[in-house]
Amino acid sequence: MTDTNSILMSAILINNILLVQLFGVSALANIANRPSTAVAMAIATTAVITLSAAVNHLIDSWILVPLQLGYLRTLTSILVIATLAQCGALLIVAQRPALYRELGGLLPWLASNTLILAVALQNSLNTLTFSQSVRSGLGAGLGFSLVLILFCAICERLTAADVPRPFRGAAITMISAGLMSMAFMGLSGLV
Amino acid sequence: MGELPAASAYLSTSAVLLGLTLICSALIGCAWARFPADRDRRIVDIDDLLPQTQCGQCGHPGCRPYAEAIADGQPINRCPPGGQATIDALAQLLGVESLALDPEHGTENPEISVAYIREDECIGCTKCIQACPVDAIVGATKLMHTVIIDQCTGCDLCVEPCPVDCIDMLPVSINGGQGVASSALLATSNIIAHRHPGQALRELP
Repeated sequence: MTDTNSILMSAILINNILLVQLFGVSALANIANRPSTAVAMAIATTAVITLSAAVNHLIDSWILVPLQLGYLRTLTSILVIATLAQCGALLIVAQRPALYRELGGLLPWLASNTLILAVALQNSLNTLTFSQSVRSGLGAGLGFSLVLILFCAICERLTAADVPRPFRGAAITMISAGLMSMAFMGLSGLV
Repeated sequence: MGELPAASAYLSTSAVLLGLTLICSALIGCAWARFPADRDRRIVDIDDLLPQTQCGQCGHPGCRPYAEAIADGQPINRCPPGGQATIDALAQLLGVESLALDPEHGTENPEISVAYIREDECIGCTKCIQACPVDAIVGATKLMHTVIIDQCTGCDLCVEPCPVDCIDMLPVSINGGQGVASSALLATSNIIAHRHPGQALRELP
């Protein structure tokens, strides 16, 4: 896990944060209702994950570890992530207000989901350096984006497909997500 | 029972948490000052009251640009398709006094009308298609043009460009009277939904 490229590959495909580690799966349910916003959501989340990985690593290595305040890691990570999510959301509202309205509950999701927190906490658990943390955050974001866009494509196909009545709605979404997850888990051992 | 942590641990914990909270709050405050989301919500609220005919009679190329102009301070009485009802609603939303419709920008027409192309005379020039702001005319070059009545907002921007003058504005009725189209067809139409919100559901037989 120390080779720089293998961290990126591992974060995107093998240890995919969404489908293999199963963090932030609520994003899939969100996207199933709004397929047209997949790209915007992916970009926003990737930006927040990368920035939060960087800032959380800095806070961890400069403040928490020297003062032996490791138990504060979760709290400070949440604070940082909420701030970044709010700033990101305000940026989107200012530049593309129609897009923000279409995205629905983006800000609450960004601020409260486990995906971004998991990246930050795992980085400190594995005691990665700054550049490794940023790369891991970027990889998690890219992996998330990949899954989100693929899943959005599947959902668009499903709206035109003849889904049996008992399976319509949440059921077919979960089945599709589960099948995608199995496919991604099959990639383990790639690197 | 373990030992209680040293006093310095309490101090550093609270210092870190307090400091981080203050920094984050300052950052969020700066972000709110730099990117005011309130103006955009205001514009959306104003735009929701405008009739969405996109006719340009207010001097702006559509209802959303006029909403943005109103948010920047322009007078609210420039929308003839909206009429006095829209002006009053805007006045109530913005907390200002209601004005009379500005005669320079047109007069209120209480009758709803939609465009109708007399197909015998249509030459297929597409000038009306290019003029229509809501894309309610179907057709192509040298092929027949026709107006889709449930998309037409009655803005009459298509009447002028027609070189053979074959477009009429015909009145429609909501209550099954002497109009050009049936009420059922217009129940979900653009013109009813936007110019008379709620009326389609309340008054249609």
